Amino acid sequence: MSVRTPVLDAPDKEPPTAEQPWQRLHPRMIVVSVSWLVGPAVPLLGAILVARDLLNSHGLIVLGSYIVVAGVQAGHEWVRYRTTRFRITDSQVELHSGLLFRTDKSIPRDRVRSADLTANPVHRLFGLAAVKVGTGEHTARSEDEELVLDGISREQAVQFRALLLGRGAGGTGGEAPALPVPLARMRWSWARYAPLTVTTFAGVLAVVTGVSKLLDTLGLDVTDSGTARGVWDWLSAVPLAVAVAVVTLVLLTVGVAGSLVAFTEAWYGHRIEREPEGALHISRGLLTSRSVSVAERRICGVELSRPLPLRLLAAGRLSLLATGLGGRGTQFPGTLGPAQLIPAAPLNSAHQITADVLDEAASPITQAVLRGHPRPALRRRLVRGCLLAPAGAAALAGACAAAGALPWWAAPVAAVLAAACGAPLAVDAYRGLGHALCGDYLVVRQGTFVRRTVALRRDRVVGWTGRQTYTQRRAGLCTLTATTAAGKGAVRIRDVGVADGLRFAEAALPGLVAPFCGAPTGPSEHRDKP
Amino acid sequence: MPQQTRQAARGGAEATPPDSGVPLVLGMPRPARRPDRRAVHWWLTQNLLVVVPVLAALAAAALTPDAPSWLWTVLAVLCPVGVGYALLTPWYRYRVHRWEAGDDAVCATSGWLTREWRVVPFTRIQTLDSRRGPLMQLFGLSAVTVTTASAAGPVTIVGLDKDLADELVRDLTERVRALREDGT
Repeated sequence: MSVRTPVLDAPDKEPPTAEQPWQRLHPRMIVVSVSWLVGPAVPLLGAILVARDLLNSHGLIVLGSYIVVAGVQAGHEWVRYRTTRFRITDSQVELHSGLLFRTDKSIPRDRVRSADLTANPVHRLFGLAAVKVGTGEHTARSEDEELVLDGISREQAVQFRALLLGRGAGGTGGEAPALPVPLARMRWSWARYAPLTVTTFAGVLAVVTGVSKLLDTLGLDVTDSGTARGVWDWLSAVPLAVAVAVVTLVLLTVGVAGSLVAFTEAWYGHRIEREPEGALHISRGLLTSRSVSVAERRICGVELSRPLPLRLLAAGRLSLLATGLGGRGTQFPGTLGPAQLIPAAPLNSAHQITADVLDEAASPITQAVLRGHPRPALRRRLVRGCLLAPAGAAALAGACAAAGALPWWAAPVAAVLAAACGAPLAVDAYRGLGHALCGDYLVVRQGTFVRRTVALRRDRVVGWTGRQTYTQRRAGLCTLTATTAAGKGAVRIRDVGVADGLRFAEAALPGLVAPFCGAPTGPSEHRDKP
Repeated sequence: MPQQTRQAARGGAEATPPDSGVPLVLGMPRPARRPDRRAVHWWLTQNLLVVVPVLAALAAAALTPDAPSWLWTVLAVLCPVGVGYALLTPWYRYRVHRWEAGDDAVCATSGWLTREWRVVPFTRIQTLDSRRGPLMQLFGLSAVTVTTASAAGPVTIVGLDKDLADELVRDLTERVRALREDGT
C-alpha cells in the first residue's frame, strides 16, 4: 500500500484553453523506417537475378519471407504514422500514439529542460530528424520522463525546439531575433589526443575479433591462404623482437586510425553557441548529427575529467552538468553522451570554455584553492593499493598456479608487482582529493585513473548526504554527497574529515545541516529570520 | 585556517553573530526524534523471516543421512552469527535511526554497520510517499519517503507510527506549498 503526494504540480491543473491543431509525423518516416531492409535486399535480389534459372523452393521461401517482413514493417510504420499525433499547447507538450495500446503522454512546458535533435544518415537523406524532449526529473521509480518524436521534418524540429526552449527560458519579449554567440568550436589539433583513450585499445580488440569472427563465419581458414602463410613464415623467420615490434606497430596503426575515424565521426562540425534566449546549443557529428539545446537555468556546472594518459599531456575532457542531460547510460566512460562539451583538449582551452559556458569571468576550477583531506584518507588508499590489490593479484596468480598454468613463484611476484604499482597510485589518489568553495560554485576533485574535477553551482544542490562505513567511522572520515538534479544526481566528496565536511556543507548552504548537528544554541532562534 | 574559512563563508551569507550559530566542531547530524518502539519488533520479525528459514534449511540438509561433515561446521558458525544478527541489529538500529522535520529541512539517519544521514531542504521537496508493506501494517507502522529532483537523494524515514506518518506527510505538504507560494 502506498500513497503519493506530489508537492510540485498540485495547484495548476487546468485544461488547455486554446485549441491547438494536432500535428503528425512526416509521411517520409515510413520510408526511413523500412530502409534497413534495403541492406539485405541488395544481395538477395542480386543473387536471384544472377541465378534466375537455378531458383528453387528454398530461394522462393527466402524471397517470400523477405516480402512478408517488409510488408509487416511498412504496415506497422503506417499504423504508427496514422495514430501518432502531437501538439504544443500553451501549457504542455502532448503526444498520443499507439493503436491497440494507446499511450498518451504530456509534459508541462515549464518542466521541459532539454530538447535533443538527432538525425542518423538515413534521416538526413530524407530531411528528417528526431526530437527528444526531456524534463530531467526523476520520479521515485527513477525513470526519466521524456517524450520522443521520431520522424518530423528538419525545419519542423528546429522550430519545435526553439518554441519549447524559448518559452522555457522565460521569453525575452519581441525583440529582433539576435544571432547566436559562438563560444567554441572543435580544432583539428585536438585530434592528437584522440588515440590516447581506452577506446583505442578496445577498438583494436574489436577489429581483431571482428575480422576473425568474419573469417570464421565465411568458413575461411587463415592457414589455407597463401598470403597469410607467407606473412607467418616471414614473422617466424625474423628475430622475435622484430616480429613483436612489427605486430605491435600494425596493431597501433589500426588503433590510431580507428580512433581518428571515430573522432571525426563524433566531433566533425562541433560547435557550442549561446542562443539569444540564453540557451546553450551544442551540435556535432559527421554521419549522425546530433544537437542539444539546454536552457540556461538548467545548467548546473561542469565536470573536467582527465584519464591518466591525458594527465601526462595537460589535457582533459569537459562535460556539462545540467538537469535533463546525461543520466544513466549516457555517461559511462568511452561513450560520447550528449553531455560531453568538448573532446579531449588542452587544459587552457577547457578552462576557457568552462568560463564561457558558465558565463563567469574565469573558470571556478582554476580559481578554487582546494583543501586537502586528512591523513587517514591516505592510509585507506595505501591499504587498498598495498594490501588489498596485491592480495587480489596473488590470489588470482595462485589460482592459476594451482591449476598448473603458471609456475609457483607467480603469486609472490604478482603481489610485489601490484604493490609496486599500487603505492604510487594510492599516493596520487590521496593528492588528488580536494574540495573548496569558490564563489557560487563548489569544486570537488578526486580519482586517480580518471581524475575528475566537478564545479557545481551551490544553489543547484538539493540536499546533503553523509555516509560512514565502519572503517571510516574508526578513522573519523565520512563520504559527503551533494545531491543534485544534474548528471548522475550526486557529487561525492570521499573521505573528508567529519567536522571539516560538515563545515563545508554548512558553508555551501548555510543553515541546512547545522541545526541537526546538536548545535548547543537552540537552532530555531537563528533560523527563523530570512 | 578552518576558523577563517568558516567566518568568511558565514559573514558573506547572513548576518548571524559570529560567536553564536554554528559551533566550531560539528558532530555527525543527530536529529531529535526516534522511530516508534514497534519498529524494533518489525525489524526483528523481518530478520527472523530471513534467518530462520536459511538455518532450518541448512540443518535439514545436515540431518540427511549422506550429508558431508563440513556442513555441521558451517552450521556451527552460522547459527550464532545469524541469531546474533537477527536479535541484536534491531536494537542497534533503534539507537542509530533518527529523524526530524526542522524549520527548513528534513533530516534522517539510518544504518547499523554503515551509517548514513540525509538532509533535504523543504524548498527542494518534490513528492512525499508514504508506504506500508504487509509486515508494517501488522505492527501499525509506516514509512515516509521524501523525494527531490535528484536521482540519488530520497530521504526515507522508516518505522513511524502510521498516524504520525500521515500527519507528517500532511504537515510537510502544507509547509512546502506555503513556502513555494511566498517564495517565488
